[in-house]
Amino acid sequence: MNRRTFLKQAGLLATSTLASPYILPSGRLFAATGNRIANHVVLCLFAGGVRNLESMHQKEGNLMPYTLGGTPKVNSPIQAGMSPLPMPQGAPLRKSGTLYKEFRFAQGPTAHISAHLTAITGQYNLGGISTKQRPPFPTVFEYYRKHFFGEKHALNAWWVTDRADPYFYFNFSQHTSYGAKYGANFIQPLSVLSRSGSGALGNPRTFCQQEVDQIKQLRDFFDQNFEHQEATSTHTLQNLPKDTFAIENFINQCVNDAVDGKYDDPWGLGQSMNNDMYNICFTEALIRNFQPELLVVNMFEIDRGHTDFTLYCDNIRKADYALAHLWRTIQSTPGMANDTILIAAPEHGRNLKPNTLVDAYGRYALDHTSDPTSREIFALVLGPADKINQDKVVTEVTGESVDIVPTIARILGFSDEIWGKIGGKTLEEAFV
Amino acid sequence: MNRIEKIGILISGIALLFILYAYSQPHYIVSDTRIRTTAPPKSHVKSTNQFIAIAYTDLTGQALPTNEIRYLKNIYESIGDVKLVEEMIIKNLLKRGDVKLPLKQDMQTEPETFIQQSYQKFFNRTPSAHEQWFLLEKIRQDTSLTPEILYMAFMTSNEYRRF
Repeated sequence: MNRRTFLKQAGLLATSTLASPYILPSGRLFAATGNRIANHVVLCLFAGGVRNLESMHQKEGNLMPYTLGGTPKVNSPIQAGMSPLPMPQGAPLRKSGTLYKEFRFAQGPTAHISAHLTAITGQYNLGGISTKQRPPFPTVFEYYRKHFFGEKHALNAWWVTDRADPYFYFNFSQHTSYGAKYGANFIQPLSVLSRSGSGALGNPRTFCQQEVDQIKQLRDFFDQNFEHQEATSTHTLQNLPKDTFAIENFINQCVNDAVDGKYDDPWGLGQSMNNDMYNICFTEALIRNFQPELLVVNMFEIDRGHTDFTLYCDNIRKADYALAHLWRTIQSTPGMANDTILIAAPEHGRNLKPNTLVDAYGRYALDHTSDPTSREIFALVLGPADKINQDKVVTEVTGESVDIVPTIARILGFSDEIWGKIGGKTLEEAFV
Repeated sequence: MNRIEKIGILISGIALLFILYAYSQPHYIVSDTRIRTTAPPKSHVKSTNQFIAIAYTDLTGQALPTNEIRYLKNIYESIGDVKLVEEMIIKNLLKRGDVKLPLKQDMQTEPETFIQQSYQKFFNRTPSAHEQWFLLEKIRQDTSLTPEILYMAFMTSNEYRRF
């Protein structure tokens, strides 16, 4: 090999080394750029089954003044059944973002579990789902934690739900490429804040640091002898030790607050406070403590519409109030204010035709059995003015439930990673 | 060949002989090896109800009332980090008035018995010789160790979650 040949080959080798892309475990060629629209997303499932007839079309009056604006007014036949709520102050939520008045849960059964899963996985569930196992498709939490190139430990992802069974399965899927390793923290506040919660968690033995170290050393010894058959880490969510400590302290504090009566009437609404409001109230405490990057919370009391139409309408009003309260908390939380996009949508609607149950005001109740009306819902995307179109109303049929996950992916900067893996598209109308 | 070259060849020859001798001898290398006891197979993870009921019985010697199983199950299923919620439940069980813990003095005077009984109670087996020796040393050397600390470690271990 002469000098010229050596220099040529060395140059080619150096060039190819520099030019060769890095193949990451995720399969992509380069690390994600992490280009984000905002650093936090809160998805609030305005759930329980809300018909557009009552929410957007105001058939029973203005049940959502905190979102839509205008004077709160409920039609006289059911007015006596409404709980007192404060008059809205300031601008309604729609002024801070884009309202899709004709959003659709387009496919799959209009059932709570199926529709929740669609919002969380970005997939319609057409083949039926088991309520006794985790979803087959990856959840938005797993996409976020696996693909976003940055801080992504479980403390940054939360699934807060009004009900436990089977919703405790939704914080991660059984998908072999995702699963518990990329799951979200799950919590059902109503149990934690209940008498059960204080009975089970309200009086813990507290160990000093020396004792904690002794326990850890002994446990490590036990676990070391058992590690060959320990597979639980692949089945359960695991937080970092420092995060586990922080979550335990937070839960203990909430339980103590509940025992001290601080959750008896936290919003000063008296008897008007319902479970959705408690759920949102706890979520606000969680937001103030951890400022999660991705949080999904649901409401459920609207589902009382199966047996009581008037209560259904009243609970829409309360969900409207709670949503506005949540947005105010986000905007007053350092780290999340002006850096959070909130998406709100019911999981599905309710049937056009009522069932046979009549309430105290002579109104028939409503089920949800996949008729066309039960697919008609709304969506609201709120965020900073330089990111999200303000005071924009999309009146034509636009957007579906499967678009929520791609929209979250775009906001948090991992769109490229899930491209082609799920259906749906980004809700472009909302973005500046 | 001058004198210096001859000396050089001689030294090289001696060095070569030395190397050949050294390589002809057997070599022994000590590599790092992790010593551990292998616990017997336990293929089943305890269900929520099993975990709660067994933990209560292990600490109190009594069966857990049905209504308490229900509310502990509610809590167990309301927090996603299973290890965390189990640890929190056990910490609360340890503070109950009906918990029966061995006395520290008994543990220190008869540590072998304490270890045997603890392994039987929590892992449903006898400890291996290595496990027995390790805990015996711990109890003898660390006088601040209490039965409560050992119980907490047993009950939050991976083996305790299985049967």
